[in-house]
Amino acid sequence: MTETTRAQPIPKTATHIRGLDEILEGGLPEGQITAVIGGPGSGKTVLGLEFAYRSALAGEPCIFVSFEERAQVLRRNAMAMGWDLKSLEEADKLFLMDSRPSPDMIRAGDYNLNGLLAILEGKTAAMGAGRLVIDSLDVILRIFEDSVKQRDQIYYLVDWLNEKGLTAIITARSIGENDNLTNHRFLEFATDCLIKMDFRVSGQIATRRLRVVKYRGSSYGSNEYPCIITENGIFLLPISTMGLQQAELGPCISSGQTDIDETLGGGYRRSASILITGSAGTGKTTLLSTFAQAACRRGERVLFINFEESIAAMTSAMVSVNIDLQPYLNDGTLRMLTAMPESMGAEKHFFQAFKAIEQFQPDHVLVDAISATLRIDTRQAAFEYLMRLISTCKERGITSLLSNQLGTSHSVIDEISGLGISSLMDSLLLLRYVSHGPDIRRAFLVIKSRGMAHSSKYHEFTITDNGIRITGPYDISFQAAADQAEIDSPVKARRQKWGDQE
Amino acid sequence: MIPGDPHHTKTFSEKATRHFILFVVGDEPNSRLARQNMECLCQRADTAIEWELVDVLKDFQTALKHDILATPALVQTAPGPGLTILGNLNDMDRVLGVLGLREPAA
Repeated sequence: MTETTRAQPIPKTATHIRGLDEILEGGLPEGQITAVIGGPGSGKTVLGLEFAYRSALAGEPCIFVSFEERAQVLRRNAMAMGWDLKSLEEADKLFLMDSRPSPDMIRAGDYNLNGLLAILEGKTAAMGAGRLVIDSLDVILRIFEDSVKQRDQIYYLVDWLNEKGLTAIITARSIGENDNLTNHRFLEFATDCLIKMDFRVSGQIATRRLRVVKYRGSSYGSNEYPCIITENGIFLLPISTMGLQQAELGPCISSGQTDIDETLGGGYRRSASILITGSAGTGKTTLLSTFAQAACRRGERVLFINFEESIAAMTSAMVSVNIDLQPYLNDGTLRMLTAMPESMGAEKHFFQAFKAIEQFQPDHVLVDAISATLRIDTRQAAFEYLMRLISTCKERGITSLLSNQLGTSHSVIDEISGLGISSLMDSLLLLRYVSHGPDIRRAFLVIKSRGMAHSSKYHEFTITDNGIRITGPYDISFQAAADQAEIDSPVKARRQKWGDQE
Repeated sequence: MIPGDPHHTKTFSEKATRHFILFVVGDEPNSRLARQNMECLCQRADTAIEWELVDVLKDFQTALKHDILATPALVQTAPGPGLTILGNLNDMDRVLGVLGLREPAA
């Protein structure tokens, strides 16, 4: 195509599967074939079934040809995801064709798939169906004994689908069946859109992934997207398709403590993303809880995602600094989401958070602590989890307040940046221990706060039995020279860098 | 509906009449062959056969009811339980053997 040729967008059929239409930039190619190839358990049947269900639900009749599962099993599995196939079948919007080949079929002479195609021809006409799902191709091809015949059948099928102009999904299994490789190649070649799905287990955590390999006549998201099968079907939330434009910051809201508000230049900004970094015990959870209490008191809804401790452990610890969150948990202004990072994959974690945000519609989301997300899986998975969580909040104008625990193994500068998400942050706060002669005290520094005239000095603070109290500015000259070199200069360098960006 | 060959002169054993449906698609080569072979089968079988022909292009409902996938397909409807033979029936000896219709040794 030359540069002067204007690309004509091809017509597309929305799948209404969350996230998939964004990756496909609108949906499946209308009137064309999409091949979905994946190993056992990769979710291709669910993808096909969800397409059929959502089509039928939208009033677009669809036929689902099942070579693999009994219709009854499909209905039951669908019901587990809240999809009532039966009523759509009764309304003649959906037809589940139970076409499992009988194992004791006797062969005597040559045969082909014309019978199946003739049935589909009759049925699509009777229902007015323009959509079809075939699950899965390799099962039906098994009734043909040689590969040449198998390929002929793929050809007939593809040719027939194209002739009828049906929007079709053909699934095919991919793992451990090397003899099918040429068939798959042929299918890949003969179809217009190709999606690959897989199912991997790493570190006892299973993740499914989806990738669009080709899409004739259209651009598409070409990354490998993690996906999960939820109680509502397939869930994909591609990080790269999310809008990253910064939402406008809202008015000032109190951090819950007037002297902290002062150092912040008035408080946090509504809809902002705020990262609070500090070593263990410096008061991150207290700072988050202070905010949660103040917000709940104003009647704002707070979702508190806690990776560190149970609801009971956290609320009782906070009572000792005179922060009682229990009343807000009781009246529903505060919701806690607790999960061990190791308990599930990053996708599940994200989905849980996403679901809570959609259902609960919080004004603020608090996460304690993002450093724990590293225990979910890889650093990349943690980054993606956070990136998507923050983007989800930003899109909805939700304030996000994240704590990040400083470890000892990484460089301070790396950790302050919060797994590399700092560019998304509107405010960065650092809590740290400082030496004060022979004493160790806590100090607080606002490294950046977008759109706010904040203090650029360290402030000492104490955690009293009445919450956090700022005791006054901290004289940095107390700090040992070596300590300064390690911590202060990278902070300054960072500040310089952020200053340049603003 | 095409009746079975009415011109047979053989005397049949006491076996019950077999009922079949032969599913074909239009007049494609395999379907044509299957029809010819079915007529031949009736002549060679040692049992009375009644069969009907269903062209799936004209009657897909019956094909659906009998779970037809590939064609030609011969389905024994009575006595049950149904038995399906896939293919154009070119392998006549195999069909006779499987169905237990082999002509008695001369």
